[in-house]
Amino acid sequence: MTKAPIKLLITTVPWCVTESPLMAPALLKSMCVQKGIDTVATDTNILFLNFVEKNFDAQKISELQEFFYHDTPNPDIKSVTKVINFMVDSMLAHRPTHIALSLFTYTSQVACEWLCFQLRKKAPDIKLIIGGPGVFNTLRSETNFGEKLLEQKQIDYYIKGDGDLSLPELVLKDEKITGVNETTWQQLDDLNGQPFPDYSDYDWSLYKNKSVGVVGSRGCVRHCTFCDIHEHWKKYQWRSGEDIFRELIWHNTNSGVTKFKFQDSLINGNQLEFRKLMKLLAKHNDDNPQNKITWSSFFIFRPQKQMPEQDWIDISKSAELLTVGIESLNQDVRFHMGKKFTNKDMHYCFDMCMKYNIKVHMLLIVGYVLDNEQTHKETMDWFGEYKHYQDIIIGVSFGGTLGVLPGTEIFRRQEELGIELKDKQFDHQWSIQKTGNTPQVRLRWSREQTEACANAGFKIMSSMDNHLLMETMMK
Amino acid sequence: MIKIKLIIEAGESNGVLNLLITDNKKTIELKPKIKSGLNEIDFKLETPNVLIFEVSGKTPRDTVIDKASNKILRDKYLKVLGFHIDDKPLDTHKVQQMFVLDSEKNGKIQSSYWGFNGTVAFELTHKDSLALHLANKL
Repeated sequence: MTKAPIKLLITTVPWCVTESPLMAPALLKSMCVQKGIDTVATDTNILFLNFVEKNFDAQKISELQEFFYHDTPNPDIKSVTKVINFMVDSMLAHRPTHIALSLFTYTSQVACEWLCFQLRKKAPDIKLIIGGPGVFNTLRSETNFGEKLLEQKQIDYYIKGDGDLSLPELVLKDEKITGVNETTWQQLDDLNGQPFPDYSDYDWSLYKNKSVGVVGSRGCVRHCTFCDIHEHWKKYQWRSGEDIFRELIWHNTNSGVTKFKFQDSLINGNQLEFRKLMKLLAKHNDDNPQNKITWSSFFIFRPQKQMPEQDWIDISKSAELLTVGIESLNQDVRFHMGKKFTNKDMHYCFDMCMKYNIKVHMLLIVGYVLDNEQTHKETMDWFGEYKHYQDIIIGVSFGGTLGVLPGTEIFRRQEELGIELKDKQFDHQWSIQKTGNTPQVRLRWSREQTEACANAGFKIMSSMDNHLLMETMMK
Repeated sequence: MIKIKLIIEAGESNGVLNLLITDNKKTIELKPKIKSGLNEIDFKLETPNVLIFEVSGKTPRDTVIDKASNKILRDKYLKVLGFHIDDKPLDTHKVQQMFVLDSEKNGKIQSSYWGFNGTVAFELTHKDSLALHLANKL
């Protein structure tokens, strides 16, 4: 009997709260097509989000999210089976021989587990592959999720790291290769000159935010103590400004898209290439006032000498939104985190944003390991003192309270910092007795800082993720 | 029809226990040949249904106790180590809690360790195996 030709479906797995397309399937499709593999790339996450919005009321959606985030017992079986079957049927409609599920975060694991189960049952011959940071970055479990599903024979392979290389090779060879079913992997040598993401299979009518995702870099130039990115991306890699610009123009020419969302940890990690990109975009937008390209991205504030005023002028020509991880309004706390900008630097950047009308989404962490009542008070006072920044700070996100994630500097330095992790399965339940930094205190700080911020007139950007996290802490 | 796999450890002491597996709908009647050590028992079942396990062959002399330490030295028993529905195992902690042995002489015992003659009824409340897994989550 002849073997059926390979038909690969690459798709995302919920739950990821976003209004934009997730990029991984589109990027991986390009790599697989380049290797001659018949590939379809879809965004099941957005299909799912639209499906639940149409089929369930707010209460039921909240219950579903609770289940998919925390794997809670006694879920509403009818609702869960309905959404799982909807997703499975939509995947099987493509008649794939291989399905690659992309897990963006740990909150994709529950859906992934039951999707794989139903896929195995309904189409046992399909090869199932999972990958993405969500396979490893677990909040509530110390086990390797990929290994668990592999042992249970619910999947054929899991991929660690750059699927760009390993996915097409794996699909073609159908055998274990480097980075497959193991935790070691090789990063791509060079991000430049790679094929551009192919979004042609995505249903654009489903997105409220029709921006296209772009990767300008992988990894991060900072080593923030609370962040585990270096567990995943060992070294920082970047694309040249010219290569990124070529991609933006390619999408713009082929699909007319003008809004782009960088998936980078920070767009300006390599200041030189970032500056080149800004200049190219500024020129394009000056030359094409009817077809301006805009972008949003995570962004890092830098001292004035690294980012003189001309940089801000160029940025203002194309930036739609900078999402900036300020994380703490106290300079000492921020430096301990590994953020290398002073309060003076921070206010310089905000002032530049004010001057050139560049919008900022400010991210803050409540209850860092150095925080105490004094730093808490300073934070609340800042909002009143700098309320004029409301013109450009379009939202403030208090990212829950600090979680001591495995793979982070603060996790490794628990003893030195006096951190007592109360529940290894839930890394937000930690205390430092000598400073009174406990979950209950952090919840109060979070409430009071949020109130102070809102009372000063800033807009709070709250997310369901954060709400669920806080509820779990209160239990 | 769903596929069930039972992984059962059998303890030997004057032989092993007998096991009879039937169901409420009288569609199966299995008498697996139990051997000392690990046993895997596979069968298919219409659901919803109630699985009935009848354990027999235990006599008082089959449990040997060290009188000094009051520890069991040797026993004739069955212990359910795994319960798979459509090739996916239920959580092992769940398996340890989900059976109640209605023993002939010692009343009801909630355990996956069956060391007495008696009957275990396990309800599979849904038709679909995904629903069965979700219903049996810890």
